[in-house]
Amino acid sequence: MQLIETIEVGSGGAASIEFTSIPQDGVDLLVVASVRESSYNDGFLGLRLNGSSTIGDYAYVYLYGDGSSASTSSAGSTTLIYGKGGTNPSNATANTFSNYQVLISNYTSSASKSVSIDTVTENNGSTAFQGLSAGKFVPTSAITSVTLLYQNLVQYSTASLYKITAD
Amino acid sequence: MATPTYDLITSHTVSSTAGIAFDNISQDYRDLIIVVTGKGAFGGLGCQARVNNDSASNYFYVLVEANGTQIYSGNGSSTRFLFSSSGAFDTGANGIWILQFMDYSATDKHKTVLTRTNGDVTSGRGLDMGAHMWANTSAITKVDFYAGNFATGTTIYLYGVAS
Repeated sequence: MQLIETIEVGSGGAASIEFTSIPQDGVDLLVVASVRESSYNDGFLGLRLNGSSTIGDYAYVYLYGDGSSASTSSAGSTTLIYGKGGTNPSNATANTFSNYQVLISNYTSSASKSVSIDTVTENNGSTAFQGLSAGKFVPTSAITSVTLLYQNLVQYSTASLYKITAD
Repeated sequence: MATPTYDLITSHTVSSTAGIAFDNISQDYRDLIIVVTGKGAFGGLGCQARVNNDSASNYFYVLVEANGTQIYSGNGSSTRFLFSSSGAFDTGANGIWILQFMDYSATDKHKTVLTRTNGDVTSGRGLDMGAHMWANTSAITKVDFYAGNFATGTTIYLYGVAS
């Protein structure tokens, strides 16, 4: 497994973190992120591939728990893949960030791509989220860019992109 | 920057419905990770495996499944690993399936396996996660998937994670 790039959000925050020009010599892609959102409290983080915002290019189902109950939801035709618990909400304990991991298997193949997401938020002594998402990117093109996005990711949010190779 | 802690040991692309075995597995790593991308050969079979040819009732599990409208959790035991029971890994469309064998080469503990299964969500499949245990202290040297688990074209990668 090799680190391709790490991105840290700078002063003022950013709506997204984007990895582009991804090398095509790996088997799987792994994204590991630690982020916090300044505008919303729902804990969602969106994932887009190859810059596509086309309705129907994505589908997902997620499952999450908040310490008192568990919930599941899905979308069969949408513009991104959501991971509940991907961002630390704006009302969480100050200076805490989420843990968010995405595995994109066989990312250079000419088939639709399966996406696996694991998330957890941090919030001392109060409600936090832990979630799983199963996603599908319908287009058959190889993955050349990965974008994490929501409303406003705060400064010091970070994401690292790794490739898992066959050698 | 290279981080040589996650190495491909071997891979397999399914060309028939015969069983698939990873044998003589290297004992040089801390954990094993198996990543399967593809689909099942028969509906409802899920995915089943044995380690070290053990056919005794030494396999235990607890899992949770969800499909967007319902959540289910259950547990049980068997004479083999029952990695996915939700139909998430089924005949209809491709999914991804990730197995992590913890501390597989240790000889002083029962072995734990964490699993994730993502079905094709455009075909109504969901996801599941499970915690499995093989109640045996032997090092794992062989993982044997049942015949018919995987459809032709399914890829299986076996990785070793170093200490």
